[in-house]
Amino acid sequence: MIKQGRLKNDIVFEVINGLIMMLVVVVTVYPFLNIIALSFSKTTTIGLSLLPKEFTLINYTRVIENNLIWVGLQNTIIRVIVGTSLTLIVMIMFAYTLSKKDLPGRVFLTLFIVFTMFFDGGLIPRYILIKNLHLMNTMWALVLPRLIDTFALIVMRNYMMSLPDSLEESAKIDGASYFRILFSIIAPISMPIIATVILWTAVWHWNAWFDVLLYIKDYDKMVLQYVLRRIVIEGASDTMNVMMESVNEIVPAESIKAAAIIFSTIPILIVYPFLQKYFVKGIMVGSLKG
Amino acid sequence: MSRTVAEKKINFKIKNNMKKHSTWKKVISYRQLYLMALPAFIYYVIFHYIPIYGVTVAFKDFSFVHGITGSEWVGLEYFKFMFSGNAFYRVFSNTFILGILKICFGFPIPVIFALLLNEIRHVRFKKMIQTTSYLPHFLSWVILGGMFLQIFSIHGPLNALFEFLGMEKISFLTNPQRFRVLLVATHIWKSMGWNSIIFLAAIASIDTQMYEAAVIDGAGRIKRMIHITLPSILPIIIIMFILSVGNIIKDDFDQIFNLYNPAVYSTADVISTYVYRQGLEQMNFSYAAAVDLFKNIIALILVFTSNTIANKLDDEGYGIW
Amino acid sequence: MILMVCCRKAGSDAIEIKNIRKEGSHMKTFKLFAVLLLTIVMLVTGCNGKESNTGTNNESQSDKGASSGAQSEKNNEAQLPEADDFSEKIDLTFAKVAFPPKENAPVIKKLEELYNINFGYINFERTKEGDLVALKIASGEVPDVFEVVGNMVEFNQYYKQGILRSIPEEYLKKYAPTVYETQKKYLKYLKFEGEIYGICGERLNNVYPLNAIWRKDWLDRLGIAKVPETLEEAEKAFYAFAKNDPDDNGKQDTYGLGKSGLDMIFGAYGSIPWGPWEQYWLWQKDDNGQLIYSAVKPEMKDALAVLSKWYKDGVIDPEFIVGENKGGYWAVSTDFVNNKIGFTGLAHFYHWMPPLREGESGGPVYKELKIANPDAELAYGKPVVGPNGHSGTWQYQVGVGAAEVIVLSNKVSDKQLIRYLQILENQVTNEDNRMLVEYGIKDVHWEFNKNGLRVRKADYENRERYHPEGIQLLNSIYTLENSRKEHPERYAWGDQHYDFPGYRSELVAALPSESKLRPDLDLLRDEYYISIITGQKPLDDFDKFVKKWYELGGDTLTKEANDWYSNLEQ
Repeated sequence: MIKQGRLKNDIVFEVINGLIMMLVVVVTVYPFLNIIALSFSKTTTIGLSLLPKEFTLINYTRVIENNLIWVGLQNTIIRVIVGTSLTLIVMIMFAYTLSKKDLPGRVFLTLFIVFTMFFDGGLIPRYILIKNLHLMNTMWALVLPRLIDTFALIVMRNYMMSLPDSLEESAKIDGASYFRILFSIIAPISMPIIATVILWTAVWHWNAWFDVLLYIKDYDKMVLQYVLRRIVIEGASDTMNVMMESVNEIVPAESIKAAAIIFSTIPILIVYPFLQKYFVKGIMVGSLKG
Repeated sequence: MSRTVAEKKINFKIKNNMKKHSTWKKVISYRQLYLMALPAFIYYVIFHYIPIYGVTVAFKDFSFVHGITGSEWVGLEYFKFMFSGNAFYRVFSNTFILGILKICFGFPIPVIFALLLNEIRHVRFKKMIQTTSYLPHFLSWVILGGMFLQIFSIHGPLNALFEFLGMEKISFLTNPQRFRVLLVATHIWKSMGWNSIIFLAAIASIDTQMYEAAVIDGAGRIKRMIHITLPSILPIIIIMFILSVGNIIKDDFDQIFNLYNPAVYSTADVISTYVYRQGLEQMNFSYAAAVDLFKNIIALILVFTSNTIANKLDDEGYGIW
Repeated sequence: MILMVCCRKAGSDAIEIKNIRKEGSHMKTFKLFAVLLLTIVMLVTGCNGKESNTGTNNESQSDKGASSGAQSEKNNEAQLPEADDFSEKIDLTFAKVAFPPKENAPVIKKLEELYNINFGYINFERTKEGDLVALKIASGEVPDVFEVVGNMVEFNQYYKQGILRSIPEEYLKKYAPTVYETQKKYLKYLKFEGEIYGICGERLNNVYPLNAIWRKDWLDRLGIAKVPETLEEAEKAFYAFAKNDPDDNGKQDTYGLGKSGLDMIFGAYGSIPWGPWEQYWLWQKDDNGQLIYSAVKPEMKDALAVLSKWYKDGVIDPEFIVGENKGGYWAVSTDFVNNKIGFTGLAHFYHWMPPLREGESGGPVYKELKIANPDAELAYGKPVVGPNGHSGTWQYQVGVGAAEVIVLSNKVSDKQLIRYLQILENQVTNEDNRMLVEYGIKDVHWEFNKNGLRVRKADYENRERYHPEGIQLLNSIYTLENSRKEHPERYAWGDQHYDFPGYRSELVAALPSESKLRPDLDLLRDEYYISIITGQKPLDDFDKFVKKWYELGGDTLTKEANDWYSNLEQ
């Protein structure tokens, strides 16, 4: 159907567009390939090359053998799942409430949350709070403080605001509760934005390490990125680290660091396609309206 | 058009009374919604409003032994200290210039990228581009820093290319002006794919019937992109813009710290690197808090202004409030 | 709000009213919001005020208790408590930058038995994102024993804020006599108002000045038989490196020296204007016995004259200021390893050490060099001698200033202090127990290699692997003697090749106005030095720099440095 409507200009545009996109791929994937090449190298300096020097799997074995990495991976997965699902539920409900343009107190609530984007008590009060709530050394100290990202909340609210009111009218007439309207009508049609928020939240949890440093004491509650960061920054030219160096330690080779980075990125690459369909497929609003 | 001013006033009064009455009715009819908002509300109170007393540390001389509430008030001393440093104005304007450059170039590019990506018809190719484009988001600047120093070095591959093309070699790393370009370019490179996801999501939710109608009208791809896709995602563009305007004053410490050198301090030294060198390692908590508060107030003003402008331009009220 | 809808229906003329309404209601909400916010903030600060106030009272009381206890002890010096026989179990909390130990970490268990203590541990990591040290102290989690590494400002702060307890000299003498002997020369830097507040370690590596390493194969290829010893000889070699294609690849892509090489040239003129890292600076004694900041010494102008000439002639890497290391392990001179420059001074001596015995791979940077560049050969030179007979490279402090200073919380009781001093004494005098802390348990965590050196087993090579076992979590010190005992060959090699002068700062303290004035002054210095070397500013601007430096606060710093120095002499 579309084929018939294709114009000459379209073909030119598509070719140019395709070339631009190819360039984007080359430019963005390059450092990754470089790191992958390094991770398979026996030597630790390959410069900007894309081919491993003296191919070996030893770097990956070193990473996989590391017990702490597995402990970290397990905790990270738990944290991502628990954190993202809690966030999602609380956030969808709040965003939906705020999306009602005639809700009394809406402006107040909005200011109430926007304010927190700019005024933050800082590290010490937050730390004391977690201590007083007795969340220290538990997963809740990692999940609860980041329950809602105001930025994402506002984006989600605006998305829901832009949905036509007519969507829920018939349901209202049928006497459906707001709760039901939200989860049976609004949420399904908001899948692109929900997928975005899932991605943002999950990746945030995946990458987070600083809160672990703050709140977690036990070895068996470490997360992957904390371990990884330790490996990666070891020996980096940062005065704080260099001062701590002792003669009797071996700084992990750059190739092991590379293997650790790749190792921690693979799970994202595996999971992403499940979400991706919401970003590349269109939605038929019309069909849902009916 | 034909109504008089007096009529309008009466109308206004009646409606005002009606409104008061109906507000309570509304509250009651929306009670379910309030209940749904409650968990989030409690979250904000506990995790954002209870620790907020920490802001006061900017006006106190922080003492480790006495904690935040027990420390002595010193008023605006740390703000004065901040403005008394010779470098502060330069650092401040550097941050601002860099922030504006980043938003001018860094903001539209993910939008354009999302629009162009949407026009790729081959689904697998499309997915592949999208996946690779966000990969840089997952690499830390510690790793990327070394790589960029080599790529942009006067002895690096980029300059080799310039030489091959018969151009002169350019030092990006030691020239203060070009270093800004480098910072903006690498920032865009790292964030483009990731930041485009929200726009792709918005595009994905456009009613496909609209395109079908346009195709029947004989609109080409570029026309459809400009006249359907772009206006459809405009609300999300506006809100993203408002939210990111506050970032003008917020610099990317890790990026700059891993790339800069003393030769480019005149343009690359920003608030966070300055504060770092000023000695966060010297544990000057109050000073750091004062700088932070100052930055946040500016960010608030920026966001407030852009929100007001957005509300004026757009009657639908897609601003933040 | 309903009004809005109505108005819209009523037509465009109603928009005006709508706007008024909208603004009105917004103002109201704003006000309401502000009031509510204020109430919340007040409520919250009120509550928290109470909590932490009670906390503070307790703290200050115990604070008083400790200091009065220390004083009463002082009055009858002759009768110090008997040495502890380790019969009573005592709690001690330590702090290091480390991964948390596992539950039942074997080394911690051993230490608890050995010293009869309940071993507590706090992670004291500091990152750019936030500082656990300050955080934990501020929220009352002060460990009994912790340490400051190479940061005098921090040491100063802790003392000023009243976190530390003093360590009476006679205690140190009685319970840790060997440690006391090593401390004697550093005590003056460890005292505040006559009382000792820290015990410092010694770093044998810092006895040796930084490197002066040449590419031997380049020198050979260019027919320079002798490793340069004077500035003229060095100049010839550098010019040859830059012009005569020492790597034989037919391209003019090499230079004489990079950033670290500049330091040796400055050194040949009697000073070094900057340190290897930002927090270091060099203060020297002038002819009148006064301290003077290195970068403003007139000799530096002569050095700058030479360097700007070399820069113009293409002898210095045009991007020298980026630094020789391009990511990865900080000590690797990427440019040197990759055949870009023929001289380097980066990192410590042991980084560049060749294998001393068969089967070893040498220092970490040497190893890197050999992998990337197997043909490269090194000449371990001495810093070249300048026209007035000066020479030298940077040299760190051996003790206070660049090694760890162990400090104790003011909550530490005399009993705990005595126990810890005895532990420290044991660590310094008993090699087995020292190795337990540093390397762990023999044959589990480490073994002797065939050359008789201790090596960590492969599973416990890096920090993230050995910290969980409890290794290196007890705060302890190394003395020069003990370091030498552990690596006799390494230091014998160092003695042989690094027996040359270095520049070590006379200033071993944080100056009162340092954190306020120094960042701007450092910028000023860098700006002038770089611009003069690269020719963007004429050489005579050096005098302008000196004048400006003093005007913008250098005066104050110089005075403060000299005040500190004269106090020290007394």
